[in-house]
Amino acid sequence: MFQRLRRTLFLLCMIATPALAQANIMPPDKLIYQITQETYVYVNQDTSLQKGETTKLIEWAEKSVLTNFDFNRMTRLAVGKDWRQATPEQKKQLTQEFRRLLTRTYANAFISVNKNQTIEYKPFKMAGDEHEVVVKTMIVKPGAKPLDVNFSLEKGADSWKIYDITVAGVSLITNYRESFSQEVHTNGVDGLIKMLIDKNRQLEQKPKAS
Amino acid sequence: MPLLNNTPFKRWLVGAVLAIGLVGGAVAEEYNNPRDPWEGYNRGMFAFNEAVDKVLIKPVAQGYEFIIPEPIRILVTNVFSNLSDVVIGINDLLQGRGEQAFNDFGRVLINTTLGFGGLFDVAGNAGWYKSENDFGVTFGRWGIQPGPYFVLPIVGPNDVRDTFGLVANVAANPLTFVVKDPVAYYTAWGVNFINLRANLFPAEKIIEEAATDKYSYLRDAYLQNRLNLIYDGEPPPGLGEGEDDTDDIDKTSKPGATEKQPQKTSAAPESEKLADAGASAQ
Repeated sequence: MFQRLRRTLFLLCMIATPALAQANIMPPDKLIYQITQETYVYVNQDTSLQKGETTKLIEWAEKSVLTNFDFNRMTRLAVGKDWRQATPEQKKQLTQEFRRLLTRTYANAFISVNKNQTIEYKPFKMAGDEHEVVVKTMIVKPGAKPLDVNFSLEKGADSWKIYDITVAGVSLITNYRESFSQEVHTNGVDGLIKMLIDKNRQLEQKPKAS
Repeated sequence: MPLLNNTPFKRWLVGAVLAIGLVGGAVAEEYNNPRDPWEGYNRGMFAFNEAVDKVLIKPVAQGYEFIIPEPIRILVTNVFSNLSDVVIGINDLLQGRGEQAFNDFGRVLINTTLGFGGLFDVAGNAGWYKSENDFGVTFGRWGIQPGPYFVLPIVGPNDVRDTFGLVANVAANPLTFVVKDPVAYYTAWGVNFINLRANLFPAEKIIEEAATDKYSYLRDAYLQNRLNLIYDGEPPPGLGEGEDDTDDIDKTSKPGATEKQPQKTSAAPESEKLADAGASAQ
């Protein structure tokens, strides 16, 4: 009898745990609010960042907000059709190098959002069972047209992950597709990996103040 | 319109286009992008523009930025922005977007009066945000196809449709009606151009560092941005630079992710956007 109770309890737990985890997943709009605000506050409390110390922001982001990004999917999206012809090792390298490049791009972009600009969050609605959503924000700067910044998220096992950012309708991911595909077409997947490595090296060696 | 009457300039322009077209045309093209059949010419013109920017336009803009203090530069931006709001409003009407036209002409009215001739963006501060519209977008909404990507001398990224749009934009700008003196007219456009260039400095660094091939990065960004404007923030998937190739990629690793129809929540109507202005971050 006890055994049966135990089994029932066990089963109950099995059923309840995913449901609980489900309920604890931070909704995508809240997640975007949190990481954009966290970054905004971090960037604006430190004047050295506005002078172009991108590396410092990257180091901070690695430890905090970047866990919310799905760099695997981002790389797949950017590489497009050619992804399937890459070996697992090549895929790993592509993802690693593209991640370095994107992180720097996002850091540069965020540094340009300064104190007299504010981030506004557009109303967000979502059906309970959706797996992919877009959270829309805009950066408002006095005297200029507000800049639309949309985040595409996918529901993972335990959290929502960002897989694309669109600025004024321009996807920061798929915008690479043509140039990547051209590179693969002429120099193969290894050529693309080499191009990314060279690009990253060149950026990281650049003097900070430039 | 004075711009088109200026024959020496026009002749020089045509000469430059032809010269660069010939040089660029000689470059072998192995990879063909359907949106960019003139890639040889375009890359040539792009390189020419980059060179002119480097030796002439950028230094002038840097000098301008150095000499003119930021508050004054903001006033300059505002004045030209106010003039462009007229063009934006006209295009709202041509596209039958009454509410948007109300917002944009309202901005002109408020900023020209309360904002001292457009020096201050009073309307924007009150939540009547500046929008973006032009004749290229209008032509697109009327169903005219963009044609090939086309890099113009000095002006840069364009397509054939937007090149005609650009001519219409200049023709419809109040500067064209109000300023009759040619010297003043060209000076005004010159200041506008240099001021716009100076405003691009922050974006420039981002692009320089992000792009693996600056030419195609700017081209694809241009094409995506235009498509987005024509579809008012909701471009159909699979058109242009959409996520058309992703479905088959996702199948290999992510079963649930194949239905890619984006949730059609549609762009928030203007009234909603305005109401939401209160939800500002700071």
